[in-house]
Amino acid sequence: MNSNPILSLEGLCAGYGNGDVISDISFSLGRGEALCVVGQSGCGKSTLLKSILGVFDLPKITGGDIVFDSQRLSELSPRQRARLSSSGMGLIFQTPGAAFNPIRSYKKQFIETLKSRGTYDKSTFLPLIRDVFARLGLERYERILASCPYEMSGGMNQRIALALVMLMQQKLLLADEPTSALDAATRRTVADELISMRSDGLAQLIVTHDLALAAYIADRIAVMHRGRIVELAPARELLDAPLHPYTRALLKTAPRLGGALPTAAADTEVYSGQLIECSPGHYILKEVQHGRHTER
Amino acid sequence: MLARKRSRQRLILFLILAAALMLIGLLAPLIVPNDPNATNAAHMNASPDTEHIFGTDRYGRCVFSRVIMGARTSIFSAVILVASTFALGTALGMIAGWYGGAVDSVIMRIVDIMLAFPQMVLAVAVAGILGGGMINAMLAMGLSGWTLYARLARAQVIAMKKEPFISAARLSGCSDTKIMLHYLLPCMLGPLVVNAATQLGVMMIGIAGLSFLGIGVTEPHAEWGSMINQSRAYMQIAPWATLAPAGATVITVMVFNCLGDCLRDYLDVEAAK
Amino acid sequence: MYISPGDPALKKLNAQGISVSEETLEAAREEMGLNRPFLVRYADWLGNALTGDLGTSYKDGLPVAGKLVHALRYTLILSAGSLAVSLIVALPLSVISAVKKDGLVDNLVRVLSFIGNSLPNFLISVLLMYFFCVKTRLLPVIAEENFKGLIMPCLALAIPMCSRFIRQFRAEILEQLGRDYVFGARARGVKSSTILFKNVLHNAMIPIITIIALSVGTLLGGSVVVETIFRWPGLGKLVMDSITARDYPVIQGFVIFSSSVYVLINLAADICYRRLDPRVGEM
Repeated sequence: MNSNPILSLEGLCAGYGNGDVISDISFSLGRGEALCVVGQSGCGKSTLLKSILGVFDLPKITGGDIVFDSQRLSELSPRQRARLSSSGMGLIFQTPGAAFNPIRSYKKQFIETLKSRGTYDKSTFLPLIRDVFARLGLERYERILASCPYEMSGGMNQRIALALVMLMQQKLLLADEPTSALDAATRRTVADELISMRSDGLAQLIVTHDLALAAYIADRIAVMHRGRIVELAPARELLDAPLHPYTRALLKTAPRLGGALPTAAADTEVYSGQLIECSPGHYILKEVQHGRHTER
Repeated sequence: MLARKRSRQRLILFLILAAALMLIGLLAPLIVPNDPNATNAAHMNASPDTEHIFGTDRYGRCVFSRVIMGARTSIFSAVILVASTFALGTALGMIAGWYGGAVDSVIMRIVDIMLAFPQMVLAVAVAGILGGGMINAMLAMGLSGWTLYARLARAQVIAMKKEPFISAARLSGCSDTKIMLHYLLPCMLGPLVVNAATQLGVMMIGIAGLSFLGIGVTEPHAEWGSMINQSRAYMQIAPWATLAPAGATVITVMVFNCLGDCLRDYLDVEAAK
Repeated sequence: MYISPGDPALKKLNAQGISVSEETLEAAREEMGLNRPFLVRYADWLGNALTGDLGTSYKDGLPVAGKLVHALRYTLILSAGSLAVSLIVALPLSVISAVKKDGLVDNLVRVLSFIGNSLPNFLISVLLMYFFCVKTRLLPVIAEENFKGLIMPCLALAIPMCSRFIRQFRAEILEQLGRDYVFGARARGVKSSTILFKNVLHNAMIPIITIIALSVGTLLGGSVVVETIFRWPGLGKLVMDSITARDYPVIQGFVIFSSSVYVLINLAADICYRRLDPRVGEM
């Protein structure tokens, strides 16, 4: 594991007041590392993200601790904690653009975000945006800024949200099902962007039920079931040789849903290729390989 | 769980209170201690005592008996009015939504026209022109009252028309009437009933307002609005004659408003479950 | 209009103190155009109304349009006053109530607005009159046409309206506060004040403007009651006097006039929220 993790969870328990929804969650996440948390709906994935973010009253942390950027969060006041989270952690929602006011221009919302953090500088704002947008392959940044979220497609909204995370130079990205509301092609674009963002040292904690996405972007995968992590391993290892029965069951269900041959599950490359594109054929697998190793 | 139980308890409480008020109205002639219309020159503007617990008005009539009799007028006129506008509006709205086309256009244009008139403005003019009387006052209030339900029902029917279960019912050979009554109506009753419950208070205030102006229920018929109007000139001598019907109006309207709120909360909680 | 009881011609002659005989009554009917069939009279009136001519009053022979415009001034003052009072009270209270939901202020505001919403305006008028005029003699019974005279009718209209506003505004603000974008903005560390004033209230303004525009209808109706009680010489008092005198042209004119005002204000609201919500214009 990483010697200097950006985020460490130490036996974290949290819930909404009547029993813990997640319990005894422990892992650490290094800079530039991507950890995918997979599991079926209701396993506590979203609760985990909200507990780490800690900006809201609920869920309540009932045990364990979180260390973020060398700061023990339990030692901070709620106000300090909120400030630390919002300056260091970026959040991406499942519904693209839901995190933004649908009828307020992106420019205004970007500016008000930066202003609240005291990092707004009028002279550098536009050049900075241009750079960030260019890195994410977003063209015509001025038009995007003048638009409102409701005018944008789902993929665009999600990429703009990623741009804001880069713009704020946040250290940790918390993403809740970042691609599940997108079509296959856009999903791939966003996944590639997530990968490219890691080169800056941005750590990513991505919650998803999309095993294909996890296989594609994760360095390590954690499998959650009923509020606990049942298995945590480097991505390939977990996909190749799952040990926990739940992981095996979970891996088994996925290809069938994707319409692939169950026998192909033994080979990781075929596995991820089919899951991403949801169509059979080796050339799609090569595409995946290509996208993975050559960073844009 | 707890929220659900509490919302149900509150709903039951106000249902009981509303039922009690209606029962008072229903049994009014049996409850009243004195003849509500009997004048007594010896007992004009008498303060409350054991015989007349709310005192008497300027004609010596027993205020308590008149308030009880007024419950009958106020509550039942509002209930009948809401029930009939509800039935008419829902039926027209459903027909407009279900059949669409020319039927829809005609009904909705009428609704649009009615919507251009503020309800009380139209009610005052119509009641004024028709002359007083409870039926006329109800007509005046109901003239635009039904549009609320018509618009709501139409929107709901249009939204539900494309649902698979409606297509299934159609394919299995159900008649239009049967689909509307057995499939559509039960699904959209919730929001309609909530609106009807909140309208009870509004209609009660409306009819009382018309009666207060002298163009609704008229003397000697006991009605709270007209009682307040009749007695307000004597408020300095006999405040009870005004305050008793005033209190009755406020309490009744509050109970029905609460009932509407509780019903909405209850259905919200049930829907959220 | 022949459906209604009471003969306007008879009323007019009675009001003028003229002794009524069959001939004078017939002559008066002739003069007032009452001898023609109902439908003919209605078509005539409608045609004229479209050109802005609402006919002449039976009572004093003055043009109805002029009478209405004169009275409208007073109704506008009263309506604007009570609307202003309602908004000044309702806006801040509903914001506080929604932001600090279930707090002390919220609970107090909710109870008071519930009570206020259940009070008919005629009752408030009567009670205000009792306390301010009869008991304490602070204010005149009959509204003088000045600020002091405006206080009570204004309050009588404002109290129920303000209560309704608070309940409706609070619900709209709560609805906006529960949206994902508020969640997202808080996660990004956007200042609470920016979230509230620039986002939540801006978005809530769209339904709030609709509510305000629709309340104008209630105001116009309510002014009939309140103006009659306080003898405030606005549209409401004019129409009640006309009802007593069976002065139909004025009653008809009042309905047309009020509805036009109401429709125009709702049209203005439409234009207003087209500016606030960019989505509306495109639909």
